[in-house]
Amino acid sequence: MSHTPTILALIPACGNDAADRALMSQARQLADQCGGSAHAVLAGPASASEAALACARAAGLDQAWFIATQPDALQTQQYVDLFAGAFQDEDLAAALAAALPQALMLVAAGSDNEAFAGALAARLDIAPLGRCTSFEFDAQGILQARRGAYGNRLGITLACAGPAIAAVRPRAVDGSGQAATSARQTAAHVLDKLPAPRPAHPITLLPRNEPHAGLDGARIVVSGGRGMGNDAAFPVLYDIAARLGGAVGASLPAVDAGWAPVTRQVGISGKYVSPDLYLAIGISGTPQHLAGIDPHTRIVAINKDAEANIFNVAQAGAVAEWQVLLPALLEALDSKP
Amino acid sequence: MHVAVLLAGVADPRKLLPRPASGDWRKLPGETSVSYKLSPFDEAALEIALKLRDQGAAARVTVIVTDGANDLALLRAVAALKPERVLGLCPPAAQRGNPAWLARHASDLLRDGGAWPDLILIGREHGDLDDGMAAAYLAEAWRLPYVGLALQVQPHADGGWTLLRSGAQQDESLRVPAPAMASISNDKSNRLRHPLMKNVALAKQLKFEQAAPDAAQPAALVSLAQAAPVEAGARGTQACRMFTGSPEEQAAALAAYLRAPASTH
Repeated sequence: MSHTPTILALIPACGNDAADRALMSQARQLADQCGGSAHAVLAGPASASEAALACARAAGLDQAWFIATQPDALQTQQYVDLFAGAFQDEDLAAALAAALPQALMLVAAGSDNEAFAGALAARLDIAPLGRCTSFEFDAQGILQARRGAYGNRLGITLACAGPAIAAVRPRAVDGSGQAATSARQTAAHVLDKLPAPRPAHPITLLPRNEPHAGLDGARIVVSGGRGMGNDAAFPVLYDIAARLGGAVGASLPAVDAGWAPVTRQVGISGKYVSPDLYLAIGISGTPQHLAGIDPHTRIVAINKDAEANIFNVAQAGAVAEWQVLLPALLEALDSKP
Repeated sequence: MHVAVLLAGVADPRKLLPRPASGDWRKLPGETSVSYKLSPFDEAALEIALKLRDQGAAARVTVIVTDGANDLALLRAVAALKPERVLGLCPPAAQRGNPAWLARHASDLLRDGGAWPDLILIGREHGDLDDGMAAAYLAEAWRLPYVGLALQVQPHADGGWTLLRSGAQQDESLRVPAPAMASISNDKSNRLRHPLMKNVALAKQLKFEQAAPDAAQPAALVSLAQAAPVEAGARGTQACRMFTGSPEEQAAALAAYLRAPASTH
C-alpha cells in the first residue's frame, strides 16, 4: 500500500468562494501534514468556473477539476451522478489512478452535503465516515478519523484502510496562508463531456413565512429550550434578538414541541452556529445541543435550575424564571446604557 | 400501498452511557446493558407512516428495527402503535453504523415478492453511530428516488408522493414516483402519538420476528479503533460569572454584558 494519501475536496454547488476555499485549504493542510497530495472536484454553473478554479489555486491544490452544470442548482442525487461520472472520466481517472484506492474525500458539513457524501459513498463503494473533527494517517497509511457518536457523548476514532468520504467543518481562511500556497502550480481541468445526470424531481419552492433574521452568520443567538415550558416565550426571544441585532435559535425539544421551526434548531442534529454570544434560555446544556455551538462562542445562560449543566459551560448566567427575567431584560435593553 | 419504516434505537439520552463490563468503550455498540429509545427523527418517521395509513394511503406499515433490535422494551413500544409488522434485524456489533451491511441485509426484508415498498421512511440519523449519511447511502444503494429531511408526506392518486422539506433558503415541495425513500426530520406536525393502553398491554404478549443475518458477511471497511466518553473541553474551564440580585438588577447586568464588546468580557 502506498503511504502517500490523497485528499480530495468535493464541492457540489460551488459558488460560495469563502466556504469553498476554506474546504480546499483544509484539504491542502491535511495533505501537507501527511505528506500527500490535495485536489478538488467542483461542480457549478459554467459562469462559476473561473472563480472556483481561482479558489483552488489560492488554496494551493495540486489539481482541480470543474464540472460545468446548468445554471440552477441540481438535486443531491444529480450531483452524485455527475461526481460518480467524473471519477470514471479518463483524464481524472488517469491522473488519480494510483491515489484513489486510499483517497480521503472531504465535503463541507451540512445536511445536503452529508446526504451527497452518503449517496456517493454507496455509488463508489467507499466508506462513509460521518462528520469528523480530525484525521491522521498512521505509519501503515491507515486513516484514523475522529468524531463524536452517541449524541456526542462518546468520542470515537474510526480506522479505515481504503477510500473514504467524510464531512468536516471548514475553518475560515485568513490571508496569511496565501503566500505560502501561491508557489504551487494548480493544474486546472474542466470536465464537460460527462454523462447527463438523472432527471430532477419536480420541485416547487414555497415562500417561507419568516420575518425574523436567520441564524446563518448571526453575531448573537438567543435560543430557547424545553425549560421555557411553552411557546409563549418565543415572541419575547424574537424581541430580545431584534434589540441585540441577533437571531433566534431553539433546542431540539423546543422544535419538537412546535415552538420554533426546524430551520432554527441548533445542535448536533440541527444547525452549527458560531456567534460571539449565545444566550441560552431554559436550555439544560446536553452534549447534543452543545455540539451545535462553536467552542469559541461565549455562552450566557438563563435557567431556573442552578444545577443545570449549561452553567458548567457558560461564561455568565443568571438563575431565574424566564417569565420574570426576560421582560425585565427587554426593558433594560430598551433603556439607555 | 405498503409503507416501511427503518428504525434504529439510540441509547437513552436521559441516562448515562453504561460503561461496558470490560471497561473498553469500543464494546459499547454490542452491550446488552444499553437501554434503547427511539430518536425524535425515528419517532417522526413512524408517525408519518401511521398517518398515511390513517388517511388510507397505506394499507400496511412494516417496521424494521435495527440497532436495539434485541431490546424487548423498544420493540414493544413500537408494536404498541400497531404497525402491521415489526421485525428485528440486529447488526453484529462490528457492523453497527455500517450502511453497506444494512443495505445488503435489509433489502430482502423490505421487498415483498421482489417489490420495494411504495415508500421507505427513515430518521435523518440512523442510530448512535450515524450523523446523517446512512439514509442517502441506503437510497442510492437501492437505486431509489430520495428526499432528505422531509417533514411531511402526501400521497398521490397515481401512486407517487409529495414530500415537504425545509431547504437551506426556502421550503420545498418535491414530487417523487413510487417506490421512493425519504429521511425524516422532526417537526410539530409529525410528533409521535401515544399508544392506547390496551395496545401497550397487548404488545407485552407479542413475540417478535428476528431476521437472521447472512453469516458470510464481508468485513466492514471501517473499524472502531478507539472510544472514550467525551470530556468537557476548553469550555467550562473557568467559573460561570453569575448575575444575582433582584430580577431588575440581574436584567441590568445581563443587558450590560450582552451589549459590551467582546474584548471586555
